[in-house]
Amino acid sequence: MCWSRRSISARSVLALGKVHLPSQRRLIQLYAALLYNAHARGFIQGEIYTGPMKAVCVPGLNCYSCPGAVGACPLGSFQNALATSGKRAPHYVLGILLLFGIILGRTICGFLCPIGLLQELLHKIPVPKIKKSRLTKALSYLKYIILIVFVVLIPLWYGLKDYPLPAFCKYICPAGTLQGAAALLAHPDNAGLFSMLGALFANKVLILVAILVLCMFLYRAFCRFLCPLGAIYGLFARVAIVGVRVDKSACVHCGKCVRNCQMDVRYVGDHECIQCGECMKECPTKAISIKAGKITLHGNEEKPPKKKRAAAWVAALLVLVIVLAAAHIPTEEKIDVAVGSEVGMRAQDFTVQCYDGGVYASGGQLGRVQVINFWATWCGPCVKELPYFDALQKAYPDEVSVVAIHSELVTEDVEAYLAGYDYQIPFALDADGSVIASFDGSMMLPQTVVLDENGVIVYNQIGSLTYEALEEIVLSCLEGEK
Amino acid sequence: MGHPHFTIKSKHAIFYYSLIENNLSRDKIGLQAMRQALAGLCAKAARDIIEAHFLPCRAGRILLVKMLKNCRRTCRDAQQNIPYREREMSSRSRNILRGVMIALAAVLIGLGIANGGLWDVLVKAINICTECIGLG
Repeated sequence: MCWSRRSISARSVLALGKVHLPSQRRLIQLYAALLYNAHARGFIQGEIYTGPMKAVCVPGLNCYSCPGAVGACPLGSFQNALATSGKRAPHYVLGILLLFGIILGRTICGFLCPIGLLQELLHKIPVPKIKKSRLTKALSYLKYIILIVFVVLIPLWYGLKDYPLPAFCKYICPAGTLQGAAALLAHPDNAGLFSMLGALFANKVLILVAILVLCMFLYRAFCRFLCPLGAIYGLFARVAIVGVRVDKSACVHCGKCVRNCQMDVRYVGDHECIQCGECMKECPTKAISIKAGKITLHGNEEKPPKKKRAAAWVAALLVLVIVLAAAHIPTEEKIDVAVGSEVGMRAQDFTVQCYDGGVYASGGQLGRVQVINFWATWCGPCVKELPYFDALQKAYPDEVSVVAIHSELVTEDVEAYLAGYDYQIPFALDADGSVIASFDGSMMLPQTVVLDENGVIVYNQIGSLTYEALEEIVLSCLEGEK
Repeated sequence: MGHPHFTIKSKHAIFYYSLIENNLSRDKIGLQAMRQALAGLCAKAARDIIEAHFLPCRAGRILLVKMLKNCRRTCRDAQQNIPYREREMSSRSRNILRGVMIALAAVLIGLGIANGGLWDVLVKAINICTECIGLG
C-alpha cells in the first residue's frame, strides 16, 4: 500500500479572493441529497415522513428512517421484499433495481448517492492518503460477498421462517446509523429512544466511525469495499445507458485515465467505475465523455449555450420545489394524543375486535394487570417476542390479561399467519390506529404498555422485551398492589 | 528480392528496420531502437503489428519474439494500457438487451404494484425501522 501526502500548497493558500466553485458533479450530488431528504420538517419535529412518496425508492443509498427521507431505500426495501418473499414475490423492488441499473448503472454512485458525497467530502480532509493497490483491488470484491450473504441469503433464510431480518441494514449499514439513529436521537422529543440503546447500537456506531475515519484516508472506502448497492449497479456496467465512454479512435492507450482513477478500475466503465467522469480531465486526447446511448451528456466540447443551461436549472429547481411541497402537505389529523399516555396516568379505555371473534375491552379487565403489545407481522422484533407474551399469560392466567394488537398497516392475512402458531393470548386489530395513538405511539414497533389493576399506566415503552424483563414489570406491579 | 524488413510504430516515432540475413548479431543499434519502440506499446499492439508483416527470415522472427517477451517483463502495466473493454458486444445486441431489460423492469414493477409489493415498501418505509437504526 502506498501513501501520499497532499498538503495545501503555498499557491493555493495565497490564492485568496479566488472563489473555488463546486464542480457540476458536486452540485448534482448536493441536489440529489437535498431531493432525497426534502422533508425538512422531520428534522424539526423529530418524526419521519409518512406520506405516499415513500412507496417510491430513491436510486441512491438513503435510509428511510431518516426524518428527512421522502423515498424508500432501495437496499432496505430489497431486503424486506426478500424477507417476505415466501408470501409475495419481490417483483416491485426487483423491477425498480433493474430500471435504475439499466438506465443509470453506477452513475448513481458517482452523481446521486448522498453517502458517496459524504465520503468524498471526508476525503478532502488533508491527511495522508492511501493509494489504490492490488490489495484494494482484491478488497473491492468484498462487497459482492456482503451482497450475497447479508442482502440476499440471510433475509431469504429468515424470511422462510417468518422472521423478517434485513441483515445488512441491521448489522452493517452506516446510513441507518447516521441518517436514522443520529438524526432521531438528536431531537429532544425522542429521548425515550435512549433506553433502547444496546450492544447492536454500539456495534453500528463503531462501524460507522470506522468507515468515516477510513474514508479520510482511502477514497470512497465504503463504496469500494462494502456497499452492496454499488455491487448491484456494477452488474449493469456493460449495458447501462448512461455512463462514461471511451472513443477508441482517439485513444492512444497512454493509460492515464486508469492510472489516475481513484477507484479500483481495470478499464474505464467497468464494474468498479462510478462513472464520475473525473478521468475526462486526465485524457490527453479528449477521448472520454459521458454519454447516454449515443447522446453526449458531458464531453470536452464548449459549454452548452446559456439558454440550455438556464432551462436545466429551472427544471431542476421546479422538481425540487414540487418534492418539497409534496413532502410538507399536511396529513390527516390523527386522534389527539390522549391525555393519559404517560406512566402514572390512567389509560383511555378502548375496545378492539379480536380475530377469534371475541372483543377485548380494556375497561372490562380492571382488577387484573393488563399487558398490551402492539405488533405487526412485518416487524421482525415484534414477531420474535410474541412467544414471551404468550408464556406470560400461561404463567399468570388469573392475575394478568395479555392482548396483542396488530398495527392498522396490514400486509398479509394475519389470521392465516396466526394459524401457524399455537398462541393462547387474544389477537386483535387496531383498525384505524386509534388505540396505539391513544398510547402516544404510531411509528415504531413493538410497543408494550402495562396497566395496573386500576387501569393506570405503569409501563409504556417502544422496543423489544425479554421474558425476564416483562415478568419483572408485571411482578413489580402485582407486588405493589399487594 | 529485397531484404526482409518491418516497420514498428510507437506513439512517438516510426522505426523502419531491415534484417540482413545471417548478420543479425551485428545490428545492435537497430535492435535497441526496436526495443524502445516495443516498450512504448502494449504486448498485444506490438504483436498485432509484427504479425502484419511477412518475415521469411526465421532468425528475425525469433529475435522479435524474444524482444516481445522482454518488453512484457519490463513493462508491468503494458497490459493495462488499454483503458476500455476490448471485446465489446455489438451495438445492436446491446440495444436489444437494454430494451428487453427495460421492458422486463416495467413488467416487474407493474406486477409488484398489482400483487401488493408497493404497499409492502410503503408500510416498511413509513415506520421507523428500529433494526436499521441500531435500536434492536
